[in-house]
Amino acid sequence: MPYSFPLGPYHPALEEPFKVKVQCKGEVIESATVEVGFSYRGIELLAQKRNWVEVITLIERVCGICSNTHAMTFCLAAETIAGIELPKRAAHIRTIIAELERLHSHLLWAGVGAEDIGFHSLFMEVFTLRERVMDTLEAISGNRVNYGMNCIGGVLRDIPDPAAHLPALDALAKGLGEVVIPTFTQNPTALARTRGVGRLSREQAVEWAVVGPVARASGLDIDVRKDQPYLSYADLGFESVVRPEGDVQARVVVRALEMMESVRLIREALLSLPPGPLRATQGLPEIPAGEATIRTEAPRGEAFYYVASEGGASPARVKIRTPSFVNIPAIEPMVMGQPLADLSIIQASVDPCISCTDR
Amino acid sequence: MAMLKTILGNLLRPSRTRAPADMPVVPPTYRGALTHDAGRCTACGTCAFVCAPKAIHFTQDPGISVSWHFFIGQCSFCGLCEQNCPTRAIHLRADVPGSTNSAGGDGLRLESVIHLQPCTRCGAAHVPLPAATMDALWAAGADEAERGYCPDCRRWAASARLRTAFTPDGAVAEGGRHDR
Amino acid sequence: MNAVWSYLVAIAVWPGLLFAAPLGWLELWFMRKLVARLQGRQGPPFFQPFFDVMKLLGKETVIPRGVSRGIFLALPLVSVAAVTAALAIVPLPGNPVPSLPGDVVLLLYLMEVPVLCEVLAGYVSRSIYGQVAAMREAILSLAYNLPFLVAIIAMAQVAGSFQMRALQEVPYGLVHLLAAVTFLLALPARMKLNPFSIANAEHEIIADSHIEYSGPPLALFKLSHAIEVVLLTELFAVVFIPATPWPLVNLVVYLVAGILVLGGVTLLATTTARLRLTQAFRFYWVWGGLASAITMAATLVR
Ligand code: SF4
Ligand code: SF4
Repeated sequence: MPYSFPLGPYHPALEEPFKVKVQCKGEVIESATVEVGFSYRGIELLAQKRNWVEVITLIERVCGICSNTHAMTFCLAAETIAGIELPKRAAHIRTIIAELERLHSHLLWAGVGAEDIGFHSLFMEVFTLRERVMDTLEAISGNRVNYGMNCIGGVLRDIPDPAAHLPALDALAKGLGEVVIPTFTQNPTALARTRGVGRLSREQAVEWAVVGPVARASGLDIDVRKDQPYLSYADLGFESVVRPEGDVQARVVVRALEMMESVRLIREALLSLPPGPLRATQGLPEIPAGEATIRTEAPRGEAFYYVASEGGASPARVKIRTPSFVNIPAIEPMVMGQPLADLSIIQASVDPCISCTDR
Repeated sequence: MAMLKTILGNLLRPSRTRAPADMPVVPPTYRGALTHDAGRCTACGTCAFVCAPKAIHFTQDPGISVSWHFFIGQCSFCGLCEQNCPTRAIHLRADVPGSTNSAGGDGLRLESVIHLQPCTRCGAAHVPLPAATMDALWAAGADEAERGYCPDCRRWAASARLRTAFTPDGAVAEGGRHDR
Repeated sequence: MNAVWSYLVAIAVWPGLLFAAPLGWLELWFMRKLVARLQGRQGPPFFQPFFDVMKLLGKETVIPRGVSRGIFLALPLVSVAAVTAALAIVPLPGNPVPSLPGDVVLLLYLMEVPVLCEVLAGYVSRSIYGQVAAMREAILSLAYNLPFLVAIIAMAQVAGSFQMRALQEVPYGLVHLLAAVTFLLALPARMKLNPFSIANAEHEIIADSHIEYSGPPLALFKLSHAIEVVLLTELFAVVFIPATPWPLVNLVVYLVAGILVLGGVTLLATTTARLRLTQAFRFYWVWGGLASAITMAATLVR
């Protein structure tokens, strides 16, 4: 007897409201439709009504998890229009915050993933680790989310004592290497729930134009940090993580190894923090007429910003394409033919960020 | 069996649940509720300009005072007002808890009344410059009289100084009282 | 004391409701506390399971539209009544109920009733989540009942009788060990614990088959679950742990054994993820089947 089963918009497996509606026969999913738009806020339009300072605060709230990515990408775009060269120290600090944010985003994902396969103990361990990252972010920026670090032309806050944050990184690397990664890759029940589940082949990945860890888990080696290095990534040297399998397990592994790479990047950036000013400009920014498109690698994949200025007090247009926006539709081919039980972990495996998607 | 090792280890360690008394350390960079020093504020409006959620606004009592208002329910604790205030009148303090109330609620509201003063030259009511700023501007003690001037009279005074610099014989008579 | 009175006492007082409910709450608290400590958390206070039930008792009962009121309210009652009656048959020391021939069959039947009630509760709820949970519960019961029933039947085979007292008096041997292992294999699924918490997988289907239940009926289901935990652990202890001639010592041993068994399944639950229904089914028919076959073979070889 076929029946339809709605996952969402309010469901324990989702952190944010979106809906995957599936048609099932027995426990097998025959078709799926994804609905988004439950938390639409019209940020792109609002951005045209805010001045260049306010708009950063606004853009930072596109997403609650990768908030820094959005503010940073917007600032990069504004800087490109105005021809402002970012001071080296500011670039390093932005890189550190961006990678810390990736860490906490991936850890959040790992926790949610663990919870979706019913692994509560793993969830607890992952979130304990995440707390270290949040504490570090709070120590640097003063906030656990929406760090408010970016301004056009640089960063607002310094990292006066870089070495103070190294113990947290050590604890993180230890926790990841000794608990989280071995459990996800060796625990028989965790493997039973992730291996071969929700496959997205390389061809499908190209066809559905996925980005970020989802693409890299399907064998597509795309990462803006490597393809078009920005900030300090070229100086620090960056290795992307690619897996060919395309299943949930591969997505777990890609994110896990990326976290190790992030820890390495943060450590190097902290140790090699160059001296110099934090901002290239002082006072309120003045952005001349012009336009810029900027791509950065958000935790979930490529974030794309188009910013146009007519020289006025506010941007003329801010176009935001977030990584989840392209990744979420790929849930449909992933769940086809899979058991209903795997629906929640499959949708979670693309790390859908609804707040970004709805903007 | 990493998990088994971990959870058995947890059994031996004390719980990670934090008791209410065991508060995490608040970093000095923490942005809590803000405080406003009316004595330093010039009512320039920069803070309201940079505040995206419009937590700061001004009201006027024409000729008497300008009031600076803040409502915590709208504040996003971005710290931009503190960063941009030219006279450092605003501080987001680490020792004051941040958001505790909803936007519709009755959280912290601040109001600072900045009394206008009559210009010592023309009598027009204006926002006086903070004492520290005045010390910086007129450190040399020269033109002490300008301290009480309104912005327009300050401009007039500056212009007069320039004119004296160019026409040292002081041919220009007293005048140029601006329109109000 | 005549038979009717002894049954009443057994169901209402010892080892029935009055004893089983607090013990069940204690055991549930123990499991929750242990899980919490294993996960590095503080855990609930001692009276939490009791508070949970009391709180539910004070809440409004909402009956979904289009659902037969009678069945909806009867199911939790039947469930509690069945587990309590089942517990009354278990020959715990001091149980006033006389042993009947064939009471093992009655016990096994009564133990299936709460499962049946849960399945029905899911089906009558008119919620797709409840119905999927009910389907999962029903299929899972087909899986775990293989080792579960075989463990008891093997003991009956050795005893040559379907009477609880006879089961208890079987001289201790290899079959006890094998059957105990087989029984333990079925236990996590019967208790709906990880890795077999499939019918109550909140991240897949929001809740278990009680999804539409609220207030006192839900409290009854919770109570039924608490008593079922006591029933399962004490049944294990009574059947598989050798009895001493001193009833009081037996009682203590049984209670301790019950707690130990719960500690074991809790440890398993905290180190595992939730399996899929098909995986659980395969597990029970392959490993449960193998254990059952070995156990049955042992009863013949003897
Ligand atoms: S607080 Fe600062 S920024 Fe705001 S009006 Fe006063 S002087 Fe200007
Ligand atoms: S901290 Fe930010 S949101 Fe709050 S009043 Fe200042 S500028 Fe406005």
